[in-house]
Amino acid sequence: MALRHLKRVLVVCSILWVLAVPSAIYSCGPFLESAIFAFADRPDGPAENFAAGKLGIVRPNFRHAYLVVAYRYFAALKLTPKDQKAALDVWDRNVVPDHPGEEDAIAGWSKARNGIPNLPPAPEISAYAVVSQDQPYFQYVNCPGDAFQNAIRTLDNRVAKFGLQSADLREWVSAQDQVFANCGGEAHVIPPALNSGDTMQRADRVYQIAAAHFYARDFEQAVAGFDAISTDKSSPWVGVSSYLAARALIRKATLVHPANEQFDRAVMSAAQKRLETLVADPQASSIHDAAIKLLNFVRFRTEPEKRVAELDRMIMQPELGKNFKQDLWDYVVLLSHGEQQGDPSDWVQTFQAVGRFYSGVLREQTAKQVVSKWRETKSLPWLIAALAAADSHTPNLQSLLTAAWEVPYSSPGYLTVRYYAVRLMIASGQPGAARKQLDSLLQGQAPDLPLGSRNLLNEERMKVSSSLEDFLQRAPETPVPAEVDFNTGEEVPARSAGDQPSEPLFNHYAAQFFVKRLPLAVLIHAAESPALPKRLRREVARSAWVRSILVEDLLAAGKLQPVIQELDPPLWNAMAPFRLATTDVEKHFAAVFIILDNPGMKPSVTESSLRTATLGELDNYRDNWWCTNMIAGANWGQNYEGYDKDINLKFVDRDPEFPFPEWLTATQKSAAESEWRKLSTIGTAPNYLTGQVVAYAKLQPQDPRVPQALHLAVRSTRFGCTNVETSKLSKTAFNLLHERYPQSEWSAKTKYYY
Amino acid sequence: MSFHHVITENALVPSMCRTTGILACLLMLVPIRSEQFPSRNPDRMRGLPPLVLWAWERPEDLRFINPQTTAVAFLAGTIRIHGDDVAFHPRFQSLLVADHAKLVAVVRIEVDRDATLDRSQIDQAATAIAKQALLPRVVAVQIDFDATRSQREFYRALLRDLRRRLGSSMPTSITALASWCLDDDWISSLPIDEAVPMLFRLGAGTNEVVGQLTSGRDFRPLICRGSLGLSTDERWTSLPTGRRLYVFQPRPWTEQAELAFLWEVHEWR
Repeated sequence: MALRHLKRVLVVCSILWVLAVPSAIYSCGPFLESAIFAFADRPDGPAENFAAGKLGIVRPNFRHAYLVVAYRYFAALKLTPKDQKAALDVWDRNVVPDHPGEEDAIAGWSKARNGIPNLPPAPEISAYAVVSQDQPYFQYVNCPGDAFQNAIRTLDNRVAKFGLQSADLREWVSAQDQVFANCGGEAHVIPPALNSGDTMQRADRVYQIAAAHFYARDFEQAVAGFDAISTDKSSPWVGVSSYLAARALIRKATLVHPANEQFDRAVMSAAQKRLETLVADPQASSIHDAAIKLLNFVRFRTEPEKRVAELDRMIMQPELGKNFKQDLWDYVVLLSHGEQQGDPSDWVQTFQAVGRFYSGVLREQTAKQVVSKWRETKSLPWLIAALAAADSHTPNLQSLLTAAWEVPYSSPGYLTVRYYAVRLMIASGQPGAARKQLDSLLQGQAPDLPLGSRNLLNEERMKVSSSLEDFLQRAPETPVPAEVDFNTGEEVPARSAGDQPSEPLFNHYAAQFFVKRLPLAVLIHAAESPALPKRLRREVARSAWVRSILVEDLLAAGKLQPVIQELDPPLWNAMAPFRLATTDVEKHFAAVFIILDNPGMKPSVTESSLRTATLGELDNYRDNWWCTNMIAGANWGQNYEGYDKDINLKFVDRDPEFPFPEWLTATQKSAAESEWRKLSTIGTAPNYLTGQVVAYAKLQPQDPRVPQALHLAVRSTRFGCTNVETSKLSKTAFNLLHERYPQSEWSAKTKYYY
Repeated sequence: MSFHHVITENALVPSMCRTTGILACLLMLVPIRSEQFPSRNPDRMRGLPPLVLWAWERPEDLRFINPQTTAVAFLAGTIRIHGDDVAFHPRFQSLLVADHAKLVAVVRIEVDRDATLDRSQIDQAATAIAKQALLPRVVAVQIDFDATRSQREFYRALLRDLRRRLGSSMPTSITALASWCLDDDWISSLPIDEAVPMLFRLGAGTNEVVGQLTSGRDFRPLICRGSLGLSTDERWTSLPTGRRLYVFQPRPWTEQAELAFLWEVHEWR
């Protein structure tokens, strides 16, 4: 109760706060579109290519809907153009059954019906009814399009039999009006029984009465009516009546059920029995297609395990059948519920598990199981899963790799196999052979290689670079065209063909490599190298200069001046005080001042996307300076993700994700480690920079730059990454500024600390 | 300046609520509501709470909301206009709401390239939308239509027709592309009571919108200044305050999701 009260207070206060606060409000910023180099859960590039068997590199995090199709191709089976279209529809979640639109069908019926003379105009019909009075906003299709199309066909037939002017025809149409009056769910109109000497007229009326009960939700009467028709061999409706009785039961099961259930299981099972009987009856072959579809609908709900087993068999058939779209949808939904029976569903679920477990016992168990499965089946799907799951400790790894090399270029699994095999080669210490394979893949298949797959291979190629220049040539990657899906907020492949690839950027691996593996001496060469585009060279030069200041390597900071002059003249001009300073203390203070004045400066290159604000501007999303963890990505929201005091900055010498390259000398490795250790003690930028300014202010209080530096330091504590210690430092700088320089314009501009 | 004046705005909220209580909060509201809820006819929008959760086409159970503070704008249906035809598809997903909850019936309009957009289609679309206003507990109607330039006259005529059908007591709201509320103002003269600037999924327009709002400038049309359209998966740096918030959630709503959003609102300073 107290909690409930507290919640209410919070809600009220929160809302009133929004309404009350008069000034602009600041948070950590919206999620901006960042560069994606390869989609994790879906193929890159046109989905049509994937549907046609150009799979690129298939990965465990792909969604079920893609993996099912990939499995079929891996199993040397194909999709016809019609099947491909069905798969595309499922991927787009476009799974509305292929029945005619209700509006068009109603319009068609009204037009045909109004062509009958001596009748009042057709009443208005709504195909939709509310599910229940409790949920007036939730509707369902009560009268689908085929009901009206069937009525049009019957009308044509009865016109031919009775004549356009006949009273019998008008009688039939009037009764049909009454049937359709029930469609909207508000009326309850049942046509009266008809005594007629004409067999068809009588049979029609019995059918209309049963149909009216169906649409009016009198399901028991509807079933009884259709059952009665099924025993009347003279009725033109005898062939469909059993099917319609089953439909009535299904409608009842889905509309009238216990509150905590999706459907009434007993009624659904009764419908299933009727449909199974119908499908087994050779006399009812004309209705088999429709009955099978309906039976699948039922069994999806009543027997999910059996249905998955059936779909497992279906996906391995040479022909996928007329209902592939619905079958694939059912399959995907059941797989997402964890169902697993035959080899295809086993593979899909297991391959996904490979992606979920990166390390630990579960990873080992999965790898063992998958490799064992491959040894048992020797199939391509399981070879791919085994290659993805294995690591350098996997027993008899060479046999896996040998099998990988035997997969031909023409195989849909070729790229996937090669990708995982190369990763295994790198992990097991074969960089030279891996490099050769990767060069062959990247050069030999260039025209057909999807951009995302190219990026994945290129990242592996970076890991086995043979020199700094070799690494730098591969470090920039072009992001795949992407856009944000409105409904889910997910980034998805861009649909518009006009989207051009953006300019190359550093991906996560490259950015981390710069930060964690390259020492200043090498970074200077990187900034000078023409192997990088100019704007990325500038990114490297700026970050290397900040690093040189933080690790107190003023010699390196000086060596970077020429390249900064070339790449960033405004920054070079702003660095004049640094160059002119005569002592290390003055140089360091000048550098700290420059960093404070340029919120875009950080000791790491940015990954995925460059900062949106210019170097000297405060970023609206708080991507200013650096945070404790020295990440290579943007800082958006860092100060809202909890205080980052405890980020582990431990230097990992043998990090398998970021192995040291062969070409770094022992001295360079040692320097990289030493620099990283120093960086790990720096902490978040506002704290470090403010601390440096306060120390210098106490040492050189007469320096005319001090008041401005204190102002900038306080500003950094507002717009940079903060932690529990920031406020104290902010207050210290604030007090120092106001106490020592009360007349300074910078004191006047510094009204608060943070 | 006294250093004692320096307090963070974060600290202000709980202390304010603790010391002066809800009554003080309510008193704060009085002058603000009259000044900061501009719309074509403020009286018509007044009945709607300051927080509105969008319930899109997915099963939604919103019985947890507090009807005093929160309303629900539910997708009641979609109108698809193609060729000479107008098709209305009602909501096919469940929607459970708290007793006494106020509802906004949202109708999305999708127009195919071959649509004739003639008088008859205006009439059919307006009829379908007006019907949604008759649903129980509906206190306003909202149209979601990303009209292209060539569709604007159709939209304008549709809204005029709708205004006539709905009468004076039923407010009309529209969702507005952010650009409509910035430099491409064609909506000021529309017969509506509210235009909700959609501040999510902005894509390439993000910088322009953020730049405008963070520089302290407001939306140009007054009709855009009464509300904001946000999404729970995108957070904002700087937004005008005192406006009704419409909130989109990419997944079905839960009480936790609503509270999390409110806490995030609370974090804004």
